[in-house]
Amino acid sequence: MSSAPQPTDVDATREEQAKTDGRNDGEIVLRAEGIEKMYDSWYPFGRTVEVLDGASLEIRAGEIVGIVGENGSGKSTLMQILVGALEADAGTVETSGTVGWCPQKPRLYDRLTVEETFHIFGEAYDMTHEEIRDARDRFAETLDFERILDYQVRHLSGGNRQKVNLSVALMHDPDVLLLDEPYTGFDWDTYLAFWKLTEQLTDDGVGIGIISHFINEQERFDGIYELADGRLTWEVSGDGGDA
Amino acid sequence: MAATHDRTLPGSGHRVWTGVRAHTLAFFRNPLYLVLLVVLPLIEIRFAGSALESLPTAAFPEMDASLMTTGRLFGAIYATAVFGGIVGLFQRLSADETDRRLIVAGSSPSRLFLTRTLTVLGITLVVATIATVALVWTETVAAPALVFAVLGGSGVLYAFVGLLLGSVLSSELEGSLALVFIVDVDVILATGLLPTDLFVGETFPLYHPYQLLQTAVVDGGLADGHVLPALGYVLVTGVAATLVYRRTASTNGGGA
Repeated sequence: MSSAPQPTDVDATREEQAKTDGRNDGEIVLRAEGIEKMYDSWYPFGRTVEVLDGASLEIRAGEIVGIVGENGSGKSTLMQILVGALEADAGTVETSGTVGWCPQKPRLYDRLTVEETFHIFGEAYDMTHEEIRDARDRFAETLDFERILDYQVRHLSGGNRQKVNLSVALMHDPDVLLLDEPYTGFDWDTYLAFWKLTEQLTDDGVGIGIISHFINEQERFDGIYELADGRLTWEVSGDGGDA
Repeated sequence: MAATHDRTLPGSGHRVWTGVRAHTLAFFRNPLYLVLLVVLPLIEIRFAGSALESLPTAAFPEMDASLMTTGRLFGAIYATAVFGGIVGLFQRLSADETDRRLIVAGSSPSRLFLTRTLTVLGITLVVATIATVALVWTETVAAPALVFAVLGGSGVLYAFVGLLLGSVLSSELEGSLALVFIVDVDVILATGLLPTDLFVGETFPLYHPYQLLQTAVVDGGLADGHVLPALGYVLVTGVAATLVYRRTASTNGGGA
């Protein structure tokens, strides 16, 4: 399902539309088109729920895109499809480079320590032991969790668990970063450190998509997709992280 | 990756070992599992033996061994099968979401399944060892090594059943109830405690292992005609668990 986005005949039209939408002229690092997803029950008389109905979006290098929508509108489902954790019923996802995914609920092994967590995910990302150690030290310092490296994940507070969750998504320096409410449980300092980190990442050309509920964060985004009735609408352009 | 130095990546075997070590550590860090690992075989063997011994022999005219021996064998094979099955189920179901994140990160489903399977097999062999020791402690056992092999095989068989159920069911409660029910029926039919003319009893997975266990304990050998069918069940459940895992590992579940 995932491959590098290739230039097509419709790209010129797309670029014109992007300019109209206020998008930057960076390379498209993630493009999804016509995503459809329905949850069906195995049981008789079970409920069938149509979640996504032709959702399309693109994320460019160096931009931060917000994805908003009501509870249950399908934002997390969309994100799982974008990263390849869930199969879509229809549609395509093309990505350029590596993807980092920070799920809403920390998907970590409860009885492994933070140190072991970095190790097992680092090896999955094809990182060397030295790169894993470097990433661990870098994020432990940036997000202030050096003192809990030998704690089992189940013993961490919600905020610290979320710091590890986010760090695991970032540790391999991905080209595209997809974050599902990544700052849940953060204290104010960590929240600010998070946004500073995203600024550094976009400066380095990383394309970031963030599911967010907070309307007052909209000015931090280059643009917002609103998910309603299974479709995405490019709604607002913010100040591009200048706030 | 921005690194420019020489990158020596861990080999495939090392990554499997990292996974097996991590999952095994995670298992043994739960004190309740440790207690059950030791207590379940001991209690089952002792209580099932005593419970059956208290029943009138005349009620079970077709039993080959004494009621107490039958009860102890029942307890040993039940404890090993149910523990192996539960470990298989929980290794698959409880870790499903994080495993899928690991797959998204780049771990192959096949490698992940291999690490899960090796972890389950290792834990199952520990249970089989404890059950064998408990059986040797309480019963005159003619061939302890064969008893260990048969109990280990029974545990592995149900570990695969657990992995299979974990791939197709969505909740731990559903899976646990289904598994305990299947093992209950299987062991009761295999021991002949519930006399039935239905051939269906012989088609349950533990029928052949139980015959092997009985002869290993009483005669010191393996009953003719049961080794290949028993191995066949292990093979079939192993292949089924692998295929179903590969089909469901990266694409199931999820909520809006």
